Amino acid sequence: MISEFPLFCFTTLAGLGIGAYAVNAVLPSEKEPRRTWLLPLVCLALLAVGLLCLPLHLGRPERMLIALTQPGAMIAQEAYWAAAFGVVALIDLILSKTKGTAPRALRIVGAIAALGLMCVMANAYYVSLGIAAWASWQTFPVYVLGDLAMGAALVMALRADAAENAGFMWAALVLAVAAAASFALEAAHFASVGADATLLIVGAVVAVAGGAVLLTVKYGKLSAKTGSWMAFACLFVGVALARYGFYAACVL
Amino acid sequence: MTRYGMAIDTRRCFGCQTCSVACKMANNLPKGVIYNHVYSSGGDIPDMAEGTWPNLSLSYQPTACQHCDNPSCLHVCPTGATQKRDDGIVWVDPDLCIGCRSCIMACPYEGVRTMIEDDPEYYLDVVVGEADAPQHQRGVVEKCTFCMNLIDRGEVPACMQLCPGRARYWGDLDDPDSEISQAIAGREYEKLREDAGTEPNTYYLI
Repeated sequence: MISEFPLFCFTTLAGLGIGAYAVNAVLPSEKEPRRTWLLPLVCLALLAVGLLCLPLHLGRPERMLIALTQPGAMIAQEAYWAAAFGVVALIDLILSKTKGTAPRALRIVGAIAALGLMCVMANAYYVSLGIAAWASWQTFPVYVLGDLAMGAALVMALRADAAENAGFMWAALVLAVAAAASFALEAAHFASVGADATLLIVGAVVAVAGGAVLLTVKYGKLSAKTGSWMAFACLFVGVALARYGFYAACVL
Repeated sequence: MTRYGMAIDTRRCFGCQTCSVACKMANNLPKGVIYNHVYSSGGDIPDMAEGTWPNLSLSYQPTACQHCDNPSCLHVCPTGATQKRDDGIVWVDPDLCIGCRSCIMACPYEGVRTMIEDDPEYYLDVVVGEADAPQHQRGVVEKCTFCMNLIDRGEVPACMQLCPGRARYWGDLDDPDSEISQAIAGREYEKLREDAGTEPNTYYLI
């Protein structure tokens, strides 16, 4: 198992949650869905599980309290942004459950916090100058586009109207292809510094397969419900594979 | 204000590894822990020349913590274990270090830190080196301290003391009359990985 396994779990699960929230905020449903509280609940749950994994990186979870007092530490910055996002998502959940909806502005604020967290996650590896495979600009699109692509697919799976919305479908498709391209770019960088790029390439191929599933849904070859879950499975697995390969480059 | 640094004359260094041995002895370093590597220009094998016969050359690059003005390890440490003294020495407090290796990942200089994974083991049954040398324990990251225990009592780092080639210069970079300031004045020098923005305080005279 990779030594950075807790970070792999954190960035993949929390990344899925924040990606879905951001996509849902930017491309909202035209008519309020019946269970508006479901998406913020799922996003919060994913963030919570991810955050439970984060302190395991420090060996003993209580050390996270010390880390929170070190603002320069990347793990602290991730925790700050995660907290900011979590508060917004929690307010969204409460409002959605009690009033049936939440203000769009609140969700945009949540999306900004989510994007901030994605960038902080990527930056944590970009500043790792001792690991040449990580310290390159390609790390940013791997994280940001990966989170958004699997997030869009999750929104599709949870929101029935998304698959019927042409704009949403195109956005999800573009994100899937862009995520695959970012994995391929990172794979090229890995190869240039002598790191193993196999899982990044496999992740790119699986993400492209997710995009292909989205196309079949768009052109009616596959039912929206089945296709949405299939696309989500492909993109989640693709991102997870690419990210596992990314962390495997750390052999300290 | 004092700002300690080191200069290494690569024309005088002949790769004898005495600085590495002196460091290991003075700091009572356990097996597998090296603060100071002497790299050969031709590759990872000691004394490996670069080039193709008959056009071969060989030079050495002793490498330890560069005690940077802007240390990347300091910023990323989640517990505040990595600290910078007023005199510029960067050190790791073993009581605060949790062995997360963030500093190893952030540092652009290869091989200058060691994570002690298990209980330290030693080649000798007796403790060697300075009485106030760092204590070693499992689960922490260690690196060169510029022998701050020696400096604090007016001595110089162990690697300086024993260098047979007189290739090392040490002192206060802010004092124009110090040995190091005199050594680098008028000499061409390089610093390692300046592109990383860490502003290292180790000069390689070329």
